[in-house]
Amino acid sequence: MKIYRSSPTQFSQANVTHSLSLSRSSSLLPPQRLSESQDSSRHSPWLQFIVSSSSTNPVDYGSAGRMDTNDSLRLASLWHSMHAISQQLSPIVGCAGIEALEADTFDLHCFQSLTGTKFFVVCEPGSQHMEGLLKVIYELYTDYVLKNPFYEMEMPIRCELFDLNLSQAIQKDRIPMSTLEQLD
Amino acid sequence: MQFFGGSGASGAELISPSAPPSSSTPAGGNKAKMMYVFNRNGICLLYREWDRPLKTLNPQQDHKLMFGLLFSLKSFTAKMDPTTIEKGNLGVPQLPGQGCSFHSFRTNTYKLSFMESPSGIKIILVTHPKIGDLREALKYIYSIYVEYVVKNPLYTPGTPIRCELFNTTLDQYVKNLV
Repeated sequence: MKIYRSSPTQFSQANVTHSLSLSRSSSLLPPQRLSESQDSSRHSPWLQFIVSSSSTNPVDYGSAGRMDTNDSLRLASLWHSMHAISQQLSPIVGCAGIEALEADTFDLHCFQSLTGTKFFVVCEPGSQHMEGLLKVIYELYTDYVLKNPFYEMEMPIRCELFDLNLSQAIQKDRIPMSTLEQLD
Repeated sequence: MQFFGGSGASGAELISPSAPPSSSTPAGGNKAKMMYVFNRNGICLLYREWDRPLKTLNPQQDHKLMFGLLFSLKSFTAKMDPTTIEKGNLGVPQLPGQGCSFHSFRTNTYKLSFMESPSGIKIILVTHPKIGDLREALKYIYSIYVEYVVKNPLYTPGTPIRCELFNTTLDQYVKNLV
């Protein structure tokens, strides 16, 4: 699962300011799931969080996994424009952009805050309650990043408490999911 | 990508017995808003609209924008794909069926379902957002296309579709989508 957050940009120059990734082989997962992830996906980044902003001088921080900084930037920029184009193509007025994208191997859920900041999460197909998770992440972002007096807008997020709470929120979300799978 | 269409089955069999997978209740009301068919060169072969109050662009620009959106979304998903390691560079053109594609996306006002055939024919159906999975429906529309357009001796590939039978069959099928 990956989570991205990007904020509105004028000219699709989105800058990734934060990314976090948890490998699927987290110790919190039951062993059954671990083995499954090992053979099927060879430790793909299960979760990644990227923040982009309109700042012109991005300092990337903590971007891990196989996606490098430039690729994250490109993807974030691309997502901005796709989001905007999807609004133009709407058959009815009042379109707010892509909310969910179903790809062959993953689902992407996007949440846009009132100020235009976009968060998106990339998860396994059919994952439920991703809207809720995105709202929780947005809450964490407002609490631990925006209310942090040392945080400068449009800059990479370096807030330990935010990282901590973010990983907790995601673990909390994943545990019920994996227990459900065990029941099956 | 899945290469569909039973190789042994004739087209006629494809159409009649496996009847419209999602058109069981005719009372469903028209949920489809518009439909596009593109060939692999990005030429819009068909554009139909049933319910589209908002038009922001002229038709040509609209088709270009739609094709551009699909192209970019495909390269986006191919690059984003978390299950494969070697994904190549972003934006490198890919053959149909290569790389991770997508089958639908949803906004608050519409849902766009997308299908690409192995020959690069792209079928796009824009519907009401609260509609189920349309993958089977798109395959069925593709089989209608094969039956009424590809097998039409008067049709030249790569030109806009002007087949009356195709349009009426399509309208009838789409009207009953639920």
